[in-house]
Amino acid sequence: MTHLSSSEFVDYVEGTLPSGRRAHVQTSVACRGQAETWRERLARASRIDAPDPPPLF
Amino acid sequence: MTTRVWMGAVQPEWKVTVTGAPTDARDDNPLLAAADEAALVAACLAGRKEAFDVIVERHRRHVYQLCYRFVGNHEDASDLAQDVFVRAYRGLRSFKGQSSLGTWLYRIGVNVCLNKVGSKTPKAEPIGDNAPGHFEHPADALVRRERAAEVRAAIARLPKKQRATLILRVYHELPHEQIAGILGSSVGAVKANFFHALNNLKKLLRHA
Repeated sequence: MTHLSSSEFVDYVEGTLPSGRRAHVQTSVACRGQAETWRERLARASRIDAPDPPPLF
Repeated sequence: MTTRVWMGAVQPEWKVTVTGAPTDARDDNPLLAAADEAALVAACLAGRKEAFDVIVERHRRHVYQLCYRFVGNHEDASDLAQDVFVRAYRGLRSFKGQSSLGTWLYRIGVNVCLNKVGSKTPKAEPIGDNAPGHFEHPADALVRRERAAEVRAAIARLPKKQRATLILRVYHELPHEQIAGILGSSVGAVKANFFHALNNLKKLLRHA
């Protein structure tokens, strides 16, 4: 079975990848590793917040 | 005494000064406050400027935060957000309702931000990273701020479409379809940009 495409990686991490392709991640060390790395980066990027605009803006 | 900043920008000849507590646009006209987007746009085009107050009130938070994500400081974010609303006001006749007003404003916002900031590293303020709710040792706080600044700087160095996609997806949590509408791309291209943005972020970060 072919490895996940970039688009499928996004779907996998966001939980929308079809079950057939999800099963591939469980058997592919490469795809599983990349998905984990990608998740970590996403978590790191997500931690930065932006303030609300000031009331008079 | 307070000044409503954006109005002066929309109508440069106006100098609107409000004495006392700021008023909420919704207080001016309860019917407008409850109006849907089409009615608000129609009211604006018919010359009712207060309808644009309602539009600003509804969207100012998202527009400001979008701009803040691109520039990382209040001063520039305020300027850019004003610019977005000025362009929206002037271009309201071109809004045909094919997308939501929010999507249209995001589209203007992304274009304004990308045109203004280019690939410059933002002049980031030492705020805006998620501070923990409990006491934090000053050394830990320093490390957290430095890492947040590092991520912001890395995001600022991403290619434009990757940068916009990352901001809209991660921080504004927009669906891929809406991002595609904002950026004029396909959903597949949005997902590919998102994927490559995070891959590139890794390369741009010193402490991955």
